[in-house]
Amino acid sequence: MSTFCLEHFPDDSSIADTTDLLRRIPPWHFIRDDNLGVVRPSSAAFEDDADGDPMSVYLSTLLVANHRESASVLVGHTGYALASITAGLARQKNQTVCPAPLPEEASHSVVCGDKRSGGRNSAKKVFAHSARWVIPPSDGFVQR
Amino acid sequence: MVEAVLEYRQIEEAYGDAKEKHLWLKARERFTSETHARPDRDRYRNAWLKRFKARRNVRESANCKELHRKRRPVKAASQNFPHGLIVAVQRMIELLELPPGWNSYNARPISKENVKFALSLLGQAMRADTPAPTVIPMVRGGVQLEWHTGGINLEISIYSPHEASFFAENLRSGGDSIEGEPNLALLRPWIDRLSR
Repeated sequence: MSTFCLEHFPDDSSIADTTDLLRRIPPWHFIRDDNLGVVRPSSAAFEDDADGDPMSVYLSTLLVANHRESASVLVGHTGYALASITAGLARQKNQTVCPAPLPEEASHSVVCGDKRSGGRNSAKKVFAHSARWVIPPSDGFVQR
Repeated sequence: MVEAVLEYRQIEEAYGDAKEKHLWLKARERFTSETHARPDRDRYRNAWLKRFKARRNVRESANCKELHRKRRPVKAASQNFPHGLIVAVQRMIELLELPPGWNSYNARPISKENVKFALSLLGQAMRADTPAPTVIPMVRGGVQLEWHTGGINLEISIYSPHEASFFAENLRSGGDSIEGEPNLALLRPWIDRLSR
């Protein structure tokens, strides 16, 4: 794990490995993988933000605790889908999972660490292949 | 004063009549030149028709196979054009219109330089039978080109024209894989495997 992440976004061990981390996936990141016979998120969907902030996710446990549906994080985002990876998988790929609540979204958290290097075992590729659809993409939004 | 005005009107009317007469004469001249036969013009037209028919006969005769053969490369060139590239270009044009924050997480608009670089790379590497890549926008304005078909996973990530990475694996040969910078020597064998 990088020193930057350990200092600024330390891992919160109270978040269990089994916790689902939800990530909004825009329609431009749906990909038809003929080798697997599925539509999945592209690895480009699991990169850090353009401003250098770590990748944003939403803690499913906090949504449940607040009696909210997962779909609530997609409100106002037509055509988007919702994918999830587990906190355990993020940690396996040398990432920290750190709560970063926003005024409008208490479940907001970040996944910090290098996501590019490692070729087929890079964090972003592993996340893209392991992600589970919580709300799958609509057919009309998947590229032919 | 009154006389001056009357004189001006007379001049104006005279000028109008003259103008009308001039236009009428011009129209009549044009009409006669189009409808009346002109031997010199007909002679040229007939000569041209004769030459046209002669050329057509030569083309259609059995002796002109060589001529037809010479035309084939034009057709072949269009057949060799990578049509997957057209699909990729259309997609990239769409991506260039993405607004800032297009992924709902502060993503940057896609940069023209990255699109140009991606197209130039595809233009050099793709074959006529190469399937179109899936073109994916990246959060920092880059472009990712992906193929996941025929047992091959191929991804080219263009972060900028000076920073790009390439990853390929063959699932059918026990996960034989490669990664590095996307130069043509590395790319071509993988593009060939993807192509039908």
